[in-house]
Amino acid sequence: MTNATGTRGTACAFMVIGLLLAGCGRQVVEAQPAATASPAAGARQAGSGQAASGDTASSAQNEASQPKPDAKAAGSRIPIPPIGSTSARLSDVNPEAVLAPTRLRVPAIGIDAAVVPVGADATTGEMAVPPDAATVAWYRHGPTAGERGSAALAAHVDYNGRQGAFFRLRELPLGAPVTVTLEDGSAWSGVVQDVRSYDKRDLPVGEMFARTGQPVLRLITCGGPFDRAARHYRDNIVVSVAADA
Amino acid sequence: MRWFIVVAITTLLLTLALPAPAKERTGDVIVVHGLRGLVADVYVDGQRVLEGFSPERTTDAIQLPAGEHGVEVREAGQPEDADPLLAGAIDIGAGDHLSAVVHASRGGEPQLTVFSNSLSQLPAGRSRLVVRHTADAGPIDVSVDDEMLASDLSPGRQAARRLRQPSHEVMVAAAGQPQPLVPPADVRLDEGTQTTLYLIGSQGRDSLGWIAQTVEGIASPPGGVPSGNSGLAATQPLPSGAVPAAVAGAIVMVAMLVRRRLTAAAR
Repeated sequence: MTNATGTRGTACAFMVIGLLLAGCGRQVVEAQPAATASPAAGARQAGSGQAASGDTASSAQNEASQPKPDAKAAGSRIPIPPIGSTSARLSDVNPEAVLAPTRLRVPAIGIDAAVVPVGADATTGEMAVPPDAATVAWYRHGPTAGERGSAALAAHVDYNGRQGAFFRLRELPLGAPVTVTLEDGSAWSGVVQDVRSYDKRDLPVGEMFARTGQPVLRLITCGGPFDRAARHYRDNIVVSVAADA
Repeated sequence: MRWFIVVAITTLLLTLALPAPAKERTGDVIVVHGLRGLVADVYVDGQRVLEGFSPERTTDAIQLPAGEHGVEVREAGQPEDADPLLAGAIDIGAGDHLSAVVHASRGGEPQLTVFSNSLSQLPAGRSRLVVRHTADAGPIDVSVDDEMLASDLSPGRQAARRLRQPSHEVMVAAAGQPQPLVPPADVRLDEGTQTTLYLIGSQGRDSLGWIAQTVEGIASPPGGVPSGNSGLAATQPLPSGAVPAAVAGAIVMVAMLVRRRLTAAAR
């Protein structure tokens, strides 16, 4: 029995290796045109006297779309699309300011709280939610409400025996309205799309703090079972809010 | 057991034999223009990729196949076959991110220097500052917020530091000298971004200055969101819930005893 399995396993292994070698062979063949293209481009460069006169930028575009009969020599070059440029002056490189959220209102669970910008804790690398029950924190390195990506607002569910600003977050019904006021006085509003709980070890932080993608606001707090010795909740409760349609 | 060994060996062979992913066969290069007074046309592998490139500008990233590529710089409007003002080769490795800087050499001649940009991810809340010496000047001392970043930095060399705060003051002096060569630069760093400062110009002509280039997309999200410490919102009875249970049990027992007494007294 073991013998039979062994033989089958060995045969299987050889098959896999065979396939693999075949795959490698194809890889080498594929790589060749790219390899020959480079010296050709070099030769082209040496004899740059034969270059097509006129607008090179547009000829580069032609190469990219269709090889023209009269551009035979140029066709062997690797087409590089025209590129853009930006100012490198120090004053122009400085990052643009983001409008910070200043107030969060969620009438369904009685939240009307001030929002403060926070960063990441220097030692733990976690979001630096301030040590008090009432404050809502905004992760200032990410987007603000309404911008592309995920704007993250977090607050304690409880802190030192007091109920926190997000104590009732887990009770939020789908469709509940949420309003965020920004520092210029403008407001962004949305409705609850999703209420979810994650084991903290599995919190998809890349998604929670995403800097690209559809604009979404996330309200984050703690929840689930509580470890009294470590004073630590097992889960994070995450409410996702999307803009009003 | 034997099949397990076979599988293990096969896996090992697979890992060793698999070719690198296709996307790793290209690298990126950014051209940085730090040569004042020259409006340039930039050629890569004989193709004019940028016309009328003004000083103190940087190009977007140009993706090129790994290998050596020719870069030529001509004065704007010069024919393609005119002698280039500057010609050099860039050796791009797969996955590289390079900056090719057009600048003045120590003698004031046009020069092309290629630097490699480290694109390692930054921890949440950090930025990286890089300072590169690409000026017609001798070795320099560079300090950030009155703290030495690099001393005796020669032309063509660089120094880097990870920083937490967004605002910094960068000072540069001739190596060993106390007086700054240029007024201190106020630099604002974006979190999760690499900001590179290039010292350009000429010390002899008193035209030293800074230009900058940023590389984004190397940010990391925070590792978690600690947001509760009291258990007021706990969803399950926990091990320490044994205490309230014992109290409740004791109350029940006392109640039963009292009841029995009362019943006995009533008889």
